[in-house]
Amino acid sequence: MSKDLSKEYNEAVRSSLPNLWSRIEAAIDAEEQSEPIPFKAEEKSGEPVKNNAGLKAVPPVQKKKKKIIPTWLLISLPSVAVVLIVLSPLILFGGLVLINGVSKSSAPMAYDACDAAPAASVSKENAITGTVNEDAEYANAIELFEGDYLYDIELDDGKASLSANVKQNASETPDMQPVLKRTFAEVEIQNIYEDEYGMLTVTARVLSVKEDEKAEEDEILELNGEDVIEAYLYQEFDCEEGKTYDVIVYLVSETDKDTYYISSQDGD
Amino acid sequence: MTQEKFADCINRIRNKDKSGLKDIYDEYLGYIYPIIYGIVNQKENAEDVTQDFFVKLYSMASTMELKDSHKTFLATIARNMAIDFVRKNSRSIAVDDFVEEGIEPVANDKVEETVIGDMTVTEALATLSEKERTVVSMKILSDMTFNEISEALGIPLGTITWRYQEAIKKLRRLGYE
Repeated sequence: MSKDLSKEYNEAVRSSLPNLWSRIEAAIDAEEQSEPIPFKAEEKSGEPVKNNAGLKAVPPVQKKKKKIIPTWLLISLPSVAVVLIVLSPLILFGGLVLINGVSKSSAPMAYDACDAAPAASVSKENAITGTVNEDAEYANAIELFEGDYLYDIELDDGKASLSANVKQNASETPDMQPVLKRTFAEVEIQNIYEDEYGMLTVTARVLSVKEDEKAEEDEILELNGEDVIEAYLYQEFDCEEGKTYDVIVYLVSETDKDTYYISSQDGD
Repeated sequence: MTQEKFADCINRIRNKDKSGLKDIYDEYLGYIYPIIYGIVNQKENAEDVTQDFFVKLYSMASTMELKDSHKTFLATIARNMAIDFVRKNSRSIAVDDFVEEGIEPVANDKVEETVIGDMTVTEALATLSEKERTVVSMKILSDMTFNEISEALGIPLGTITWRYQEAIKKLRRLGYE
């Protein structure tokens, strides 16, 4: 018999509620005592204002800051000005030389992985191959891909496999090599859409499961032909670690709501 | 608590009468604390944020506009405060302690060996990794969407949904739906 996770978890947390009232009361008292005293009232009435402790409140004194120019700076200023006047043509000329020379050089630019990550994540060189049947909402899918999405669909004639074949543009992202190339099931794609969480979702009918994957993943053994599955496709870039580490494809059976998955690379 | 009673409590707070806050505390601690706990996922921190929540409610009562649904309003404030806390302390928060003392976390590969069906929810949650437990708590206790969790933790949406699916799968094996 299955148990209700949400109900039991909520009940468990509620059964161990802390008693915080005394702390809250003390915090409010402390806050009220530390509230600033309105000194304007004192100015108007002429009477000194007392705080809760009965002590005469003293308004903060604002000191005027004097601007002091050091003597050494006064003495050295004329000579610095002369040096600048003499050197300014050289600096200007040198700067122009630099602009015309170095900036046109073919020296490689420093690669910032995190800055490049967003561009990489929308690279159109990412590809998934698959088969789309005649009834699929293919036009919608193409719109999705041409918008913001990572993946492209390549259509093959006849029945083909659903696989994720992620390729990065090597010139843009030299440290991002292909991180996933896995064929796990023969499927027929039925629909491609954006789910409620903004993720690309492919609905597909399983035609057969790859034998080699069966050996590797127990869950795949439970995936049968004619199951309708959903494949969620992700690619993630970890800026802190500076690498693409997480491309995940997992399958959700719609028939019995059990979850099947394949993780290609999990950075955790 | 009805809207009228809540308004009465707020009016008492405006008159510096702490009994108004006490009534709200008595009524809603059991509602607010799990929301905050679900996000910060650590007992001491959840208590601190809950305390701050009620102190803030007291101080903001004078300027508060009474909404139609005060319960939702309170939940929103609590959630935002907890998220702020997590963001400010994301490097130092240790997710721990709903797991009861004496219960050793069960290694993932040993989940199948445990006696399915006899586990309490705390024992079942102890089988999850800290990261998975955080997502499950935020989702279940705090009723956050995956997008909100992703933004709160600064972790990609895909990772969040992945961790949640992994956690739910483990919990299903232990009899929790």
